[in-house]
Amino acid sequence: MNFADLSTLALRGLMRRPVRTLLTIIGIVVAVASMVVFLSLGEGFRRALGDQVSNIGPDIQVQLAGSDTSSVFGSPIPDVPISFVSKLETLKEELGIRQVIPYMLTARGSFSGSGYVILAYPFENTKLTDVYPNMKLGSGRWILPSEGNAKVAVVGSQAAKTAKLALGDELRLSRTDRYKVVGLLEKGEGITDSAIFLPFASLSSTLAVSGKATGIAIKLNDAADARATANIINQRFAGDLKAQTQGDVVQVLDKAIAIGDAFRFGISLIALIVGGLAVANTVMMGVYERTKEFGVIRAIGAKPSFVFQLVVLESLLMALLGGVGGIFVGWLGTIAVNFAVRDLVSVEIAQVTFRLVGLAVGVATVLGLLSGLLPARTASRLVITQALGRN
Amino acid sequence: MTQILEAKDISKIYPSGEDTVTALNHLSLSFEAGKITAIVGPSGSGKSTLLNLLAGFDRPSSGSVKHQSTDITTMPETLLATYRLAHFGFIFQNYNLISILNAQENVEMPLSLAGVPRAKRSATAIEILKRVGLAKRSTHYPNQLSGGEQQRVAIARALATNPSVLFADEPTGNLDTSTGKGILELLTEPMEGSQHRTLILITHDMEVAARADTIVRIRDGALEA
Repeated sequence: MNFADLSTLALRGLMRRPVRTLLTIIGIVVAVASMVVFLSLGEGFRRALGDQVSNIGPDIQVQLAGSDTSSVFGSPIPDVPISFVSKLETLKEELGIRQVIPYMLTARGSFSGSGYVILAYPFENTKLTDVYPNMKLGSGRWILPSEGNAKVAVVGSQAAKTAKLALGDELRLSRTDRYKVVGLLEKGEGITDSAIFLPFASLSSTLAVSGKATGIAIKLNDAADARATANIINQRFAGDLKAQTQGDVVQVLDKAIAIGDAFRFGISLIALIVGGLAVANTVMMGVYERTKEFGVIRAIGAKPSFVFQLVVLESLLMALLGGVGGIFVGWLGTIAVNFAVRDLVSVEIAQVTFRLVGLAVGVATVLGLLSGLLPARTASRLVITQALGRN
Repeated sequence: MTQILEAKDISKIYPSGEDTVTALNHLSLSFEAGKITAIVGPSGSGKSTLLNLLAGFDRPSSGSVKHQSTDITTMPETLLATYRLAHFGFIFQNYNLISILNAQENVEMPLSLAGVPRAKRSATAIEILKRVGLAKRSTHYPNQLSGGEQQRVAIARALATNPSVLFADEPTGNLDTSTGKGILELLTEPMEGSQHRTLILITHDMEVAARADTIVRIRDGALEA
């Protein structure tokens, strides 16, 4: 019997008890959909991370050695002595460094949506587009080189919403320090959307920090040299500074996301196991109900392997139908999740990627195969005379 | 005449708790090609067990069954299934049609298992259904057919692969007298070229047995003297 005929027979077998089959498929849909929604969060974070890293201009970020936070979520306590800027600048020619930019980073509020990030750069010799090449001004103007000590701010679109700031408004960071919003950024991807940019010296004064930065960003003439340059910096400043490339940052965050993925997959695995047991139960019940029929099929000349394949295929079809339905429902779920948090974060935190779809189909296939094995084994080992009631 | 099927010194012993039950006891029997043989005997005499062994549904505890000199008792299960498909046809008392398939699909089933292409098996099934008078009922499902019609479909299914031996276990047992007669005529009608098919049937009904060329009587798992 060819595969098309076998599939038709398997589908007819499933349609014998349409309600039971449908309920089982719905069980799989729920299990796969929950997996898709859970893991789509990781995919969204991963993509957002990619977007953000691509928006972060520095090829290398330098922090104080021993700091255990990544540079993106670096410590808000500025602890890198500014004197390292000039030391790094002496290596410019040797290491092909284009720019050495100290920065200050602090966060206001929380990441739950009410907060934003404040980033400060020395605008006397740095343009924001040097650091964030994709950044675009929506209205107003950039901070000028002459405004290194001025109380002015350029605000990202999400941060403007969060802090309720418009062009010309004032951002109050302390009792005495108010920063005038001179520019609003176009809506973009990543961290810049939720950031407010201030002059380095002004923020240092507001935070009463002297001679320290949160980190140092380094732009290279050739970004391809980032790894080698970071290694040299780490050797030269061993014990003092720690240089990380974008790849290092991504790796650290990707590892954190992968751990989150594993955790979320673990949770959805419970639903998947329950769904798998439902399939196994449905198929096994079908086998018991059709014992005589399998006996007839075997009697008229079907091999045991044919019965095995038929039962596994029924299980597989149910799981795959459930899997496809689950991907669709999961996709709707991610839309709902993104809709619910659209005002809290500026990125789509849940995303259904091809990789996730592939995983869902793979999981559904394995689920179908595993669930069908025991019933198929039982069906294929039926003794013809017993199945036909001829003993 | 040519001998087509031979049971040689076959016994079948079933475990029953701590004891055993001997269903067949050193029975030897042969069947000639083209002849109708009726196996008769009281309930529990071992008729069905004999048919199970002859048809390859079960294996004897000892002895052998040979079809055209091929010993089917020692064949691996997979080969035996293929052998049954190619050489044997079966008709059961309670029809045993597959409920999710219509009449034509039921007849096509063994052809499909044999790998016959769709168009050819469809044509063959329609042709056989015509012969059993059910061409117009080909798209009906078993639950839409009467008992007699279901048995006709079962006969058509058994004939689909043109088997050399046809086994029938009480083929008229569930049918009224007139329907049963029709079924019996269908089973015993000559094949093309006036040649009969080898038919081995089990029956309680002596009127049915009377149509056979040979009657074999069994009692207590052995041939009656």
